[in-house]
Amino acid sequence: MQSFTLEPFPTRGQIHILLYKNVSNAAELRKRLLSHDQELSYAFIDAKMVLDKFQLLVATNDAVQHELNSSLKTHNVHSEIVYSLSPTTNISESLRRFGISDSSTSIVVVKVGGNSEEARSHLSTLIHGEECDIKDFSNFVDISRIKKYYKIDDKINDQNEMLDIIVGSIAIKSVS
Amino acid sequence: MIESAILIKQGAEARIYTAPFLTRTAIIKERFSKTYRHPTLDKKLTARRVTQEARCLFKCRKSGVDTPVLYFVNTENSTICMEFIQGMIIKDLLISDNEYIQNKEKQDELAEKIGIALAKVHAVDVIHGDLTTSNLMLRESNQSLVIIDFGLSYVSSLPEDKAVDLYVLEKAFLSTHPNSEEMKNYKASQGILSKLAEVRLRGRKRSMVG
Ligand SMILES: Nc1ncnc2c1ncn2[C@@H]1O[C@H](COP(=O)(O)OP(=O)(O)OP(=O)(O)O)[C@@H](O)[C@H]1O
Ligand SMILES: [Mg+2]
Repeated sequence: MQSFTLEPFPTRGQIHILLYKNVSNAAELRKRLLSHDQELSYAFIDAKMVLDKFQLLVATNDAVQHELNSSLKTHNVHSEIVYSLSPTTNISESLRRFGISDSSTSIVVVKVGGNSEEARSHLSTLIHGEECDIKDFSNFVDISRIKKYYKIDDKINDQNEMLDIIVGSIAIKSVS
Repeated sequence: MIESAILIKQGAEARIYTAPFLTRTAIIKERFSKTYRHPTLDKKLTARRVTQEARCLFKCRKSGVDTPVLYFVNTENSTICMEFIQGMIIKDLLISDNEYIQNKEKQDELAEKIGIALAKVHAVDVIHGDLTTSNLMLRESNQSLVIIDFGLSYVSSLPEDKAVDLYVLEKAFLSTHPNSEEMKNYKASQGILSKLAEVRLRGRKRSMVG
């Protein structure tokens, strides 16, 4: 787990990012998310679609901005993070592509605000899996899927270059 | 504005800050309102301008031009957050760096980079609109040419518009370096070149006829 501040919105609290592997109950979590279970106020993201923490932070920053100026396209700031990660404006498609699916085994969680240790211990009761260091994103990322959904030219293979385009695609969506 | 932001440039249309942003350092470009305009109209026009700048910036980056990475667009406070480029402004380089002042080869190499970059910008029909040497930088890390300031950019496929871009660049460069050949690597179509010849004759302003 690592915690960050969004400098544009410092009063919204810290952003906590956690990574889990060998998760066995994604289907159960997804079902609870679909029924708007209030206990799950976290963004649950498929780790296959995460290249870097900066990608998550940029999407979270956008989501918090939408929340603060009442322009959320989804139910709450956490689902908005999943939506904001996607370069397209189709909501259900975005949530399907970037959110967890029934078969997800590696999951990234983003939490806006609150205490980090409380979030971690709460998550340990929700997620059946092992927490790992968020430096390990690269072990779970699916590059070809990333390239497909972010429409990245096939010639681009450098991951930093990919990240630059990903981040730009996320940022430009708020004015598209 | 971010609390620890540092104002580094105050222009006629925008303020430029550096600030910490989500673990990185960013440049924040803030457009301010024009007080002579009606507030509602001003807000709308400024938001449109910010959006257009961000779009052109990203469009170029996505198609392989080295421009600052786009981080965040906020039309509520008219700011664009982007990558902070560690490097030199070409204008300063040409004035103060002896290597560039004296070495013709060095100048040609730079001119070549500029030509290649601009060709890429025009290939996706972005017209930069303000191609002066203050809006070009050289990255310190890899000496890549970076195009900045898409504040006057727009999308157009007209050879005339591309020719005006070339003309502005030509004038900017020739004022410091009369013998430079920055067009060498810009493989222009015949349409653009003949328009360039026209624009050279009449200057930047669009002709009123035709
Ligand atoms: N991404 C960046 N990285 C480093 N320095 C930058 C960056 N963007 C701008 N600058 C610095 O700030 C100066 C002014 O920025 P810019 O050219 O975008 O604004 P401007 O000329 O005031 O705007 P406009 O032309 O729209 O009125 C640049 O010449 C450069 O020195
Ligand atoms: Mg400028």
